[in-house]
Amino acid sequence: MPRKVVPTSIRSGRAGNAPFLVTIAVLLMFVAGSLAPGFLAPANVLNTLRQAVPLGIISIGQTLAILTGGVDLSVGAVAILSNVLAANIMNGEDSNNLKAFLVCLVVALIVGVINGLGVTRVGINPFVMTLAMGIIVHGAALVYSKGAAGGAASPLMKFLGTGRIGIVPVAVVLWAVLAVTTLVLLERTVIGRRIYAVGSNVQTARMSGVNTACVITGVYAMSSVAAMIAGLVVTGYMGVGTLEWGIDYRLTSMAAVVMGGTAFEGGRGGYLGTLGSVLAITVLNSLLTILRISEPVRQVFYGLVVLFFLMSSLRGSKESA
Amino acid sequence: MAGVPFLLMKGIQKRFPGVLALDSVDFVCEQGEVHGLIGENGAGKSTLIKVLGGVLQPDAGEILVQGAPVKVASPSRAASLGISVIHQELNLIDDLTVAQNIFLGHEPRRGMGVLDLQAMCASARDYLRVVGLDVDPQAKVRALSLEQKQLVEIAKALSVDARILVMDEPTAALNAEEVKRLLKLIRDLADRGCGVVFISHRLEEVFAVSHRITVLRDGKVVATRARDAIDPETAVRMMTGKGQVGARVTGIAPSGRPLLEVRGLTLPGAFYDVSFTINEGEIVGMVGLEGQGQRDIPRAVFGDLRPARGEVYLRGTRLHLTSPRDAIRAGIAFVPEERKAEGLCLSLDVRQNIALATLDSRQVAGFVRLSSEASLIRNLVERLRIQLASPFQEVRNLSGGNQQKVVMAKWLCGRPAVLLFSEPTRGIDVGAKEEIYRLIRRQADEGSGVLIVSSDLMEVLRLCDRILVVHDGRIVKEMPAEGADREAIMTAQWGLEAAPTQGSSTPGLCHGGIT
Repeated sequence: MPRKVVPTSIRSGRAGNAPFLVTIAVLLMFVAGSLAPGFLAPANVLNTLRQAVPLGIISIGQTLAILTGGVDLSVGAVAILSNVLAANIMNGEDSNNLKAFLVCLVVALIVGVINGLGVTRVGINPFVMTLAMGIIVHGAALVYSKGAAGGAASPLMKFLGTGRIGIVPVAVVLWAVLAVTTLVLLERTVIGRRIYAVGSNVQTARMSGVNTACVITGVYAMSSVAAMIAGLVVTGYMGVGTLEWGIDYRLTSMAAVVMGGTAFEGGRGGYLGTLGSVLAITVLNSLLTILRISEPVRQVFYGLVVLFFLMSSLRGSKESA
Repeated sequence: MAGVPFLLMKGIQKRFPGVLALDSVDFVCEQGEVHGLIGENGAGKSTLIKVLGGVLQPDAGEILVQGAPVKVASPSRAASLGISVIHQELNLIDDLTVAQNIFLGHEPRRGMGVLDLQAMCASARDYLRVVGLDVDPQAKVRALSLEQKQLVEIAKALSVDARILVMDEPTAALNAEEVKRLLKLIRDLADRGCGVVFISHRLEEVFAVSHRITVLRDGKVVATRARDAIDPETAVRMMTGKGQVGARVTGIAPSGRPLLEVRGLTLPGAFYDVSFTINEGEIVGMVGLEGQGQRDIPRAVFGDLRPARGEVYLRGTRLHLTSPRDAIRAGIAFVPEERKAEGLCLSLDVRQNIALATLDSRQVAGFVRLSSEASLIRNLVERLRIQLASPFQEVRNLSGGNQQKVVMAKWLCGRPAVLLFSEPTRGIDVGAKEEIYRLIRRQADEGSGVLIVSSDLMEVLRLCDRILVVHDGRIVKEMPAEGADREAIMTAQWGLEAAPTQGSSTPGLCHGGIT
């Protein structure tokens, strides 16, 4: 028996639409490069990648939530709250970093666990549960900041948001580390196996001894923490707490996950596909900017792309059913 | 009953893959008649009803209503012909009112599509009076008891002018008093000119209410007789299959050392005071007619259902089971009857399915030990002879037999002390069936105790060491499987044994009847 380790994600078909999406991303990059000569310069490519980081990290949690057959619509609000909290607690001082991090972490965990318990113990539909939770959290961010941006990122946070190691942005490195961790978690660990089992058939999972409530609650907690980390990255990038970004991530992350080939019914797909669609979306956005397409038109275009992928993935799942 | 019968089914034939469910069945129902339909599990009762109700199309034969051949293409066509089927699972909408349910789909109107609410309530009241139900037509169905819901169903059937009313196990969930009232109503309906086809697993009810009785066995009509020309013992003899029991699947004789002991297990509404022991190396079969509670017994032992009373002991140690997880940890495995719903994760591959129940035993710091998992799965695939292209194949693409083997492999990973099976070979081809029998026997030879709940009597007779018969939620008979008297099993299944049944029996009806 050959002992060669082939990535199981490829053998078990978990790559989703990743190869296709990455190809599209690369093609779009060359199109953009031919229109704007500087686009393909390494520095610009890395810059484009950095713009993808918040969506990429938030989509980690969204992928996990959708894999269990749920969805997490509170991610945007959690990212905003952690941004506001972090900026205010840090107040520009590195000495406050640990405190800020711990507060954000605890808040994110509480939100995630409440989401999980609402879904598993109370039996609320994940869509409704996390949407409501998101509204509450967003409201809390507004109350906490008294409706105005404030605070200041610490130097370490700014390094995280805007700094570079060599020419590679620190945020991109962080994303890469989290992405690899997620892929390993899903493919190689007991928890990963259980996430897929719960998403594929929750009753079978229960009858096989899986503590399904625990797995689902854990996933919502991880999703909140991912959103919180994205909030910290944005804090570093913006330098302040701000309320003008982020709430749309609940939908764009969902679109990215589903475009990547993770099925809404759960148990199918993985982060590789999500990664592909985050890249494709980001490059597409840059291209549309180069083409000077106005924001409203971009929205229409963006919606059509999501619709196209949803339809093709629906056709795919019907064929295999 | 002169001239043309109201309903005549002639030479009805229906084939399913691998089985002839109905073999030139003739069935007649007159207006004003209650016609009892009885038979063993799988004798073809429900297939016949589905053909009559337009749910299934027969492969051959014809249906005549008042002498005219008709094609019952759909349930709505059946309704327009005056044939109404009341299923065991009632077909009412909880959030609508009684009147709305009765007239669902044929509401009285005043023109322009406006509902005539007054007429609706008034005529709902009329129908409710006929069935003897005293509730407000405006009440929500949700608030009604099961018996009342059943009466609403009957009222609904009357409102579409049903002339043949088919009732499939209408008494299954009713208590003695309610059963008495329902049987009385059935007789009244017949007196008003309605034909009733009555199906029940309680022979005494069938004999109490029917004018005529038809016995089905293996998809064929054994006899249609007037009630007075047949007695329950004869009926049971007619229902008992005459087919040969295949060779027994034997192995090492059980040790006689008790392994699993169940004492006084009770779950109200499902089973009562169930006690039995499974020895090391023993295969125990549990049989009963559909809906007698036998399927819930392994679920309670597995921690999926929480019994109200009773104890489970494994090798003398009392188990406290609050979830399947507890049972699995104690060394109990359960192969459920619906493998797609509860046994498999269809969108996952073979490897993940097999590994699922024993992940904790092959992990280091939360990581799955892929190499030990791969070799374990290779062994099991070989041992169980699961046919697949690769362990990375999705289980949804496997045949039923191979899927069932995957479910078994999942449990054999953990070397369980006790294996519980519910319908281990349902929907599986003959070859795979034999293999699964041998696998189960081999597991017993290695010292496991096995419980098999099955509706296939042949299976139990061939494979098991001992048979327990369940009727009305109680174990009413126990016997060795080798050389077991099938008629005795049937008699016990139909509750004709002088068994200590209580609660839902209907004393007095059996002899006196209703006239």
